[in-house]
Amino acid sequence: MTQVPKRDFHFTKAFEELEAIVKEFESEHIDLDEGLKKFERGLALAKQLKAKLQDVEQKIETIKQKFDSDEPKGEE
Amino acid sequence: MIFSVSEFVDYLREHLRTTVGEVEVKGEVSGFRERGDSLVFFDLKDEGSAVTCFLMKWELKQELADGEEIRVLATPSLFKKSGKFHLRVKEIALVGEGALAQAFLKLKSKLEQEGLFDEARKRPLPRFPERIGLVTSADAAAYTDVLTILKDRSRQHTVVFAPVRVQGAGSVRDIVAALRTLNEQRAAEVIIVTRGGGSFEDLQSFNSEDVARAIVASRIPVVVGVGHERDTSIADLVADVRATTPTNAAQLVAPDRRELLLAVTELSRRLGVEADASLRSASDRVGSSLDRMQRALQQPIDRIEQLLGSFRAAAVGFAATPRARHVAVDHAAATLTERMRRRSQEQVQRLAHIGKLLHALSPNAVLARGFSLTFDGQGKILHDAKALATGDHVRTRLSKGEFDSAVL
Repeated sequence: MTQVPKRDFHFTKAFEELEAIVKEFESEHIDLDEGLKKFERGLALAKQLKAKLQDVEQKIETIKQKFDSDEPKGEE
Repeated sequence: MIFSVSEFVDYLREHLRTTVGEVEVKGEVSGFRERGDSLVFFDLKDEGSAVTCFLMKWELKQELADGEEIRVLATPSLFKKSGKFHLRVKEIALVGEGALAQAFLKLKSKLEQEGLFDEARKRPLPRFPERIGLVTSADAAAYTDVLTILKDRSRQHTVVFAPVRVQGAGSVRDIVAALRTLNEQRAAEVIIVTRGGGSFEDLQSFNSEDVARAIVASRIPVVVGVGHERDTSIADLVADVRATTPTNAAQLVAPDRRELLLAVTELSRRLGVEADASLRSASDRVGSSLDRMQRALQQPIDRIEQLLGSFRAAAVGFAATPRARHVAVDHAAATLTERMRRRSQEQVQRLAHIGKLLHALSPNAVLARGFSLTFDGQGKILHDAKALATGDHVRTRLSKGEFDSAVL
């Protein structure tokens, strides 16, 4: 089984977290200390995302497929 | 060498299997018949000859009738018992545009009734896939098109390529197996099934029920891009997302990293604006708390001073009366003074406590975390850069020290 490898940085999750932080700032009343932490987290996420977006490598894996071998015994 | 009959039949079976293998044969259906629950027989004939064909009933995807022109993918062999020659049919394809079009419409209405084209059944694609399954032929222009677009648009990614025949004999089986393998191995987050344009007959594999059901059964979302924009295949209709061309399929799967970069920049800009506003409102709240506390402190201080004043006046007045000599004036004064002193002490302690609270909330504590305050020429805190004009002098207070500057 070729599982999707675990990554230390998950692009989709990071992007969604950044979106959530911005939304929180826009819609809620944020506590000063909490807000500062979230702000710093947001900036860090944005920085990581930008770095990932500069990375443009394409890898190609070719898979072998399995065919069913089901030969029935037919005869008239 | 002399064979027994069984040995001879086995020998020929093996010989046919290894030397002939799979063949495609075209002809007219004749003598179509079902045997038992599971077998279907017919003869494939033309003007000159005929050959017996058989397949499993469940393998028969379309209705067959005598007189129909078909093409079969089959392996030739001999029946073990009778030694009779036959073709073991693997795939049947109708021949001729008319027959194909009829079969297409029939399958389309069948799958539509099953609800397989319903939008509600279709899944959204992952937003930023890193592993993209690609089911097409390595020889097809579609293969190159998809890789080129992905390479240009996507950031780091892996294309999990499942090479298949995209037309003719064996293509249906290939595509079905590719979809199944990608799913079994959970090898990708999204799958592109694609091929370029061709004749209606060329695109037949994408109108097959098997391919349609394999797409429906895929747990991984599937994007289908077959032929040109005007071509609509059954595969297109059951796909989670339908692309018009191979290029379009790649575009739909991979968001452009340049656009994403802009989106991230915009998100951090919005974050900056909002965080600034939040911090400012927090800072305003600190300011108003300070004001309230100062007012609250001023009251007891005023009262103490008032009290001390009246005491002093009373003591002086009392000392001046003749009766004072008869009273232990000193003692009384000492008692009163002691009481006042204790009261003052209590107030001082309260002040110290409030002072600590004030310190925790003070702008200086905020400054110590790296924020700064900027004042205009009148010493008022600046909140809006619009209030400034070129040449204005401002003063910035840091945690330690201040500096003056002029606006450029």
